[in-house]
Amino acid sequence: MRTRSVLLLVLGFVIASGLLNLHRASAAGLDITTKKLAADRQATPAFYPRSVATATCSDVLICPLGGAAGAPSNGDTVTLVFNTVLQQSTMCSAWTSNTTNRSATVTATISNNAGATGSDVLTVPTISGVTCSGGFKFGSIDLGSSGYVTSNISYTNTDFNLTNAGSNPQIVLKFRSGSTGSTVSSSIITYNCNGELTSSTGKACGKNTAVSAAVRQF
Amino acid sequence: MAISTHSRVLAAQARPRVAVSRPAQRRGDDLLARCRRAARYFWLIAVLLGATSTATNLAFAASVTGTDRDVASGFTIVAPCQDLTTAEIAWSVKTNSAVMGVEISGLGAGCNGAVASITLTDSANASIGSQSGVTVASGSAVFSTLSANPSPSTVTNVNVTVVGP
Repeated sequence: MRTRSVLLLVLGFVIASGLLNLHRASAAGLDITTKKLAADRQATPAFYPRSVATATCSDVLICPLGGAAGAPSNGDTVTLVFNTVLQQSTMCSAWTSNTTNRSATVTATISNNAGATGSDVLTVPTISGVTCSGGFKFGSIDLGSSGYVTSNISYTNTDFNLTNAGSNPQIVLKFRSGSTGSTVSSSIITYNCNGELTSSTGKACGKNTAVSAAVRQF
Repeated sequence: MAISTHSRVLAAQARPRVAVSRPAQRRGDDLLARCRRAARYFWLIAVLLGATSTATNLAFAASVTGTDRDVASGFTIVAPCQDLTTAEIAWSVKTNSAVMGVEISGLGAGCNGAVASITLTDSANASIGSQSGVTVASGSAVFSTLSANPSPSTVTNVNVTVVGP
């Protein structure tokens, strides 16, 4: 009888210890804070670039022996696609109609190591045959590598074609007059909108970007 | 007369003792024995209840410090670092098929140092990509390692949470 009593007494202490630990665990999990909390449900971007891609020259008139794969050169193309119709006047003030497709001659420049992380950057600083008050606002393409040029290269007489209709408004650039850059085996290019570009409904392109796959460009 | 009365009293007191039968006495003894056995366990129950009560009290005592000072209480709302309705959402889309990253900008300086989280949801309000633990710096938070990379056309909303600073 006495042995059983002792065992029961020990059992009592075990149960008591368990409860004590449970309460301690609860106390350890209680975290009172005065931190601030903000939350909201935001709509997705209304106007953004959907894709950016390059292609090596396939124009036999420009590169009868084929393009210089992996290096920017004449005949190479850059294609940029938006998700909805562009407000053309935000790219060039002279373009007041959104239903007109545009063809023009521009100068495309690859600036050496001009990107935020030191990569080479493609811009379109000038357009011929039309006066754009405030400048031509194309945006820029970070080429994802510093190896494409060792100094700035400009491709004058570059074809610029804007097809601004449907769900795939796109811009195609084709280089025509410039020197060949250096070969890069693979890179990810990123198109950054000009801060003033908007959709036809006035939605800003803002900080939205389009990126390519990691592939051989140009 | 007095003697006679006393005799009746004695007789009356002695009568019950004589009237108790053997079975009845046995039942009484059994009941007494049961009570004694039960009494042996009362101390055990008391110990268990006491130990439990002590444990509970000790636990609370570990998390609450007693004081004899005056206590005043109140309720104060901690304002968020910013009304997020004014924040801007931008994303990075890869080859028209995948949202690779999201940037929240336009956050006030008061949000710098806070920790932001996002969840991309579809039209059924189901999560189709998320990332948490991004520290707000210079008024923006960049989410570049989403748990999944949905097609931009399937994303309906971006739920944003900012905690702190």
